[in-house]
Amino acid sequence: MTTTKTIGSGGGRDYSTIQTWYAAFNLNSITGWTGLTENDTEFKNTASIVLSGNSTTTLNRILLTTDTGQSAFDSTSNALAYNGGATPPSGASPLANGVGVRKTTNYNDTITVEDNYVTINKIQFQAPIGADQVISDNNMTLTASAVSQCLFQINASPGHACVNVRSLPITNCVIIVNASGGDGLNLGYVSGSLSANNTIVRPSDKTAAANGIKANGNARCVNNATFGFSTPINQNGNTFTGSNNATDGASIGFGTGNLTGLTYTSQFVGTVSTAMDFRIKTGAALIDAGNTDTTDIPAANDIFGTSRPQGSAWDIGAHELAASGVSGSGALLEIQDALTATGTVLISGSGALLERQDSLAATGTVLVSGSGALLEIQDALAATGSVASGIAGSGALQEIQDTLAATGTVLVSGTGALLEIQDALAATGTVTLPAVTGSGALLERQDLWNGQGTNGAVQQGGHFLPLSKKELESIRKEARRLQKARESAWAERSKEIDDISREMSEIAHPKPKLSRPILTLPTKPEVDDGEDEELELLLLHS
Amino acid sequence: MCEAIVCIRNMAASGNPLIDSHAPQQGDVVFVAPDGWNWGKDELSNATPFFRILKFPNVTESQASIMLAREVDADPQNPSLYLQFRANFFDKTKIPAGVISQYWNDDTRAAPFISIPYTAAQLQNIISSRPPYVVPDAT
Repeated sequence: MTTTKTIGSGGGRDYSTIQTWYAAFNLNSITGWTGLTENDTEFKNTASIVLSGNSTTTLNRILLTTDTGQSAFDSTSNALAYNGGATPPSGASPLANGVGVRKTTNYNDTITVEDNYVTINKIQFQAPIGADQVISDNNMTLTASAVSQCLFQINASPGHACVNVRSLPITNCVIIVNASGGDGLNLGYVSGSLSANNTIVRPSDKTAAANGIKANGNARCVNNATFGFSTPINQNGNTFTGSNNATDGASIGFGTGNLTGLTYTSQFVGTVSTAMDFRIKTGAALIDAGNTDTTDIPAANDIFGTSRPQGSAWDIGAHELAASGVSGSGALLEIQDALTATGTVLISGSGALLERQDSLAATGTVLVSGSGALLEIQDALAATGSVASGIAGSGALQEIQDTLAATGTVLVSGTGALLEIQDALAATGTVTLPAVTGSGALLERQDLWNGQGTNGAVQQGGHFLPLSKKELESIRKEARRLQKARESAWAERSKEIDDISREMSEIAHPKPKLSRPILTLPTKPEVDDGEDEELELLLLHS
Repeated sequence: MCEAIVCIRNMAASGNPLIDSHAPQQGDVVFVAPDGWNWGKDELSNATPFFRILKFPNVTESQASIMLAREVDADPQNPSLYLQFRANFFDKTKIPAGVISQYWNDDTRAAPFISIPYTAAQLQNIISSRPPYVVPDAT
C-alpha cells in the first residue's frame, strides 16, 4: 500500500521540506511513497533538492506531486510561467498560482533526480541567476523515472540547459529560458530519451539564440513547440524520431507534420519576458496540429490535465486549448439567448444541451456528438471559420427549426444523427456540399437542403435547390424540347385516333338500304360522281 | 538563528553502490531552515527515528549551509557516479557526552528537538569531511 505524506511549511504537515520527505523513504515505504506538496509557502532551497539514494522498484515507486487544488496547473486560468509571471513573494506567503520550488543560490540544480521509478508532476520550478540547470538526472541512466506536467524556468543563461537530462522522459512540460543564451532542453544520452508535448521557449523580446532541443544521442521528439532559439531542434549528429514539432525557426530536420516559420506572438497568450504566459492562444497554428501520441502520453492529457484532443486533433506543446464544452447528461438544459464562443464549442454527452431558442455561434468548430447531445435548436446554429461543424452520433441533433449554417463543412454522420430540419441547411465556403452519410443520417427535411446525399441518407426531403443559371437553362431547354416533341407526337397521335374513330363509326353505323326514296336537298352544289344517276332521274320524274 | 534536521543512520538499503552511495548517512544534514521553522509532524516525532532536529541559536542559516554541500567531484573530466549526499557531516564520535549525545541516541524522540548554543567555530569541532565512497568489491 502506498504511503502518502503531506509536505508543506505551514505547520501541521507531515514533512516541511521535499528533501526530508524523500530521505525518509527507505525506512518507511513498503510499496510506494507519495508526497503531496502544499502551497503553504514557496519551497525555497539554498541547496539542490537531490532525489537519490532510495531503493525503489516497480512496485515501490516514488511520486512527488501536489495535493488537490494546490498546483499552479489545477486551473486553466493560470498563466504558464513561474508564479504566473509574478515575482515570488519574499515572505511566508504562498505563491499566487500554486506550489512552486525555487533555488535561491547559484550553481547546480534546483532539483536533481538520480533514482529509478521516481515521478514528478504538477510542480513549477525556478532557478536563479548562475544556475547550471533547473533539473537534471546528473548523467544517470534511470529506469522508469519521468517528469510530466511541470514548469521549469531559469532567469539567466544556464550553464548547460534549462532542463538537462540523460534518460529522464519529459512530457507536457513548459521550459522557459528567460535569458539571452542557453539551451532549452538537452537530452538523448541514452536510448529511450523522450520529449513529447513540451513547450520550450525563450521570450520573444530576447534575441533568438542556442538550441531549443539539443541531442547528445538518439531521442524521440513528438509534438514539441520550440520558439525563440537559433536552432529549434539540433540533432547534433544523432538520429531523432518523431513528428509534428513546431517552431518559429526555418526547419525541424526530421519527421512529418512539422510546422515551421510560425509567428511566435500568434501562438501564446504572452510571449515577452515582462508578461509571460505560454498557454496557447486562440487561433494559434499549434491548435489541432499535433500527432495522437498515447504511446508517450497514455493519459492523453495536457499540463492542466485537460484531455486531448479538444478539437479535431492534439495541440502541439504542453497546453491543449480547451473547447467551450457542454458535456454530460443534461449539462445545459436550455439557452434562450445567443451562445457565442471565440473558440471551439463542444456539445457532447447524452442530452448535454436540450434546447436552443436563439443562435449558437462560434468562430471555431461546433461539434455536436453523442446520443441526443443537442435536442433542439429553434434558431440559427452557425459556425464561421475554416473548421468543420460536425454532427455525429446517434440522434446527436434531433431538431432544427431554423437555419443551420456554416462557412466550412457541415458534416452529418451516424445513425439518425440529425433527425429533422424545418428550415434551411446551408453550407458555404470552400466545401459547399454537406456530407450526409450513414443509415438515416438525416431523416427529414421540410425545406431547402443544399447538398447531395448518398445511398438514401436523406429519407425524406422537400426539394433540391438552388441550381446554377447554366444548369437551370439547360434544364429549361431540355424541358422545351421535350414539350415540343410531346406536342408533335400528340398531334400525330390525335390524327391517327380520329381516323380510327371514323372507321369504327362507319362499321358500327353503316349507310341504310332505303325502301322508299327520300328527297334530300343538297346543301352544296352536287358533284356528279356518276353513281346512282339513273335512280336520281327516276325519282325526279316520278 | 537556524535549525537543521540531521540523519543519524545510514539510509542506504539497496545493495547497489550506484544508489547507496547517494543515500543520506549518519550525521548528514538533510535541510537547514531559518529560526522558528514549522517542522512537520513526522519530522518532530519518532515516526522518523532516524532524524534529529538541532537548533543553533548562535549560528546563521548561511553558516550552517556548509553542511548541505554535496561531495565535490575530484575529477570533473571523469565524473564519478558515486558522489555522496553530503561532503561534511556531524561526527558522532566528536560529540561530547552529555545532553546532546543523549538526545542523539534517543530513538523514542521524547524531545522533538534540542537547542545547541554553539558558535559557528564550536560547531566546526563536531564536523568531519566525508571520505570518498568505497565501492564494494563485487567478488
